[in-house]
Amino acid sequence: MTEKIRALGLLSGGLDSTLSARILQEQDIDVLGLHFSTGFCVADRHRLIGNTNNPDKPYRNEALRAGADLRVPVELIDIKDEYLPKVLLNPKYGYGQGMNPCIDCRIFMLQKAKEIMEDRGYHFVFTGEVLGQRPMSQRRQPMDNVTSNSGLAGYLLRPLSAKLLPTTIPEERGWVDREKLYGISGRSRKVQMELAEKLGVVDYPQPAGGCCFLPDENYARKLRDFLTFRGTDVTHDDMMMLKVGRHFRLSDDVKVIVGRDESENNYLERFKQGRGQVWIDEFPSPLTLIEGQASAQDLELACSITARYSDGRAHDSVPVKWRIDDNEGQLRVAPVDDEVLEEMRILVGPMFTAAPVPKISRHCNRMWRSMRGGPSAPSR
Amino acid sequence: MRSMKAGEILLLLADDAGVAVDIPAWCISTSNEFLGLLKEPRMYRVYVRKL
Repeated sequence: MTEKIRALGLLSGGLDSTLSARILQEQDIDVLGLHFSTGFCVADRHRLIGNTNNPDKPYRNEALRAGADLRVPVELIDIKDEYLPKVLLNPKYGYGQGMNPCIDCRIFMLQKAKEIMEDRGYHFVFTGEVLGQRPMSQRRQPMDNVTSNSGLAGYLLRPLSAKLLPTTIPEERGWVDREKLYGISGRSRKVQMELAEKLGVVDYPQPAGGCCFLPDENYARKLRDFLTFRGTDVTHDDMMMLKVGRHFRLSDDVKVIVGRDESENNYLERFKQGRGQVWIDEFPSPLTLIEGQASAQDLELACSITARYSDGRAHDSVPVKWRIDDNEGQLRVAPVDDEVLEEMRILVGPMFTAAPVPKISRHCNRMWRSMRGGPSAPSR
Repeated sequence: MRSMKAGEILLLLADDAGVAVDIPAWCISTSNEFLGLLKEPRMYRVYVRKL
C-alpha cells in the first residue's frame, strides 16, 4: 500500500494560504493547517471589540473558516509568551516599516512547524508565500533566508511560486508533482483569484494589507513608547491595551488611554483591574484608564482629557469621576486645550532613532504650568 | 480533545462571541460534532462531541 503523503502548512485563512492547501489536496495529500497566535493579530482586536455594525454576526477566525471549507483540520497555536522576547524584542533581521520583524517572525513560525513535522511524522511544510508579494519578507533573498534559518531547507514548499524557486525534496521524491504547482509572482492577486474560482475556493477575506498590528505606524509608536518607559517586562494585556484608544503620556511614569467610542469603552472595561479609571456621569464620555502611579496633577490632567473627549467639551467646567484602587472621588475641571493635548499624544516624534525616546517629565511639567496659567513653555 | 475518548462531550466556556462561528467551523474541519451553544449574560457554553 502506498504511503499517504502528509503536509502541514501555515494557514492564515487568507487567499494564498487557502489556495496552497487546496493545491496540495488536489494532489491527494493530507493537509494540516497551523495557525499561530502572536498576540498582535488585528482579528483579535476585532473579536474583543465585537462587530458594532451587526452584533449578531461575530467576527470569525478565518483560519478555522478555511479549514471547514477545505475539510482541513486546523490547530491554533499560542506563541505569545515566546514571541515577545524571542522575536519582537530581538529581531536578528530588523523591523519593517513599523515594528514588524517579518523575517524573524516567519523563521520562528517555521521552526515551530518543523518541530511538529518531525514529532508527528509529516513529510514537509508548505506556506502560501508568493514571490515578490510583500516588500520585506517575500522577496527571493529573504525567502531563501527564511528557508535556511528555519531548518527546513529542502522541506519547505511554496506551491504558488514553486516553479520560480529551486526544486524541493517533496518534488524530487515525487510526493508532489511540480508540474501541477504554480509560478506566480508579484503583488497582483488576479491570478490567485482566477485560480480560486477554478479550484472552488469561493469564501476568502479580501486582501486588506495584512493581519498584524506591528507594521502599523501608530501601533508601533505606542509600542515603542511603552518599551521606553516601562521596559521589556511586557504582558499580553499590555499589548492588547495598545490596540485601542487614544494614548497620552502625562509623565515618565504615567500614561492614560481614552476610549474612542462605546465599543472601545467596553473593550477597556476588561482591563480596569489595577488601573485608575476616569469617567463622566453627566454626559456621554469616554472611559479613561490611568497606567502608573498618578500624582494629583496627573489625575487632574486625566480628568481634563476625559472632559475634552466628552459631550461636555464646550462647557467651562465638567464634573469628572475617578477611581484609583479603593479610593474614588469627583473633580470639576476644564476640558484640556487641544494644543496642550497634542503635546502629550503618543504619536509624535521619530520612531527609529538610535537613542531611546527622550523621557518627558520636564516637558510635561512645563505643559502643566502652562495649563495652570504659569510661565509659558519655551519653544522647542 | 486529544485526551478524550470518542463519544465523550466537551463543555467549552468562553466570553468571546466568535465561538458561535468558530467552533462549528472547527468541528467541521476536525470531524467532531457540534452539539450546540447556550448564550448566557456574560458567557457562552459550547458543547462538542468527540467523534
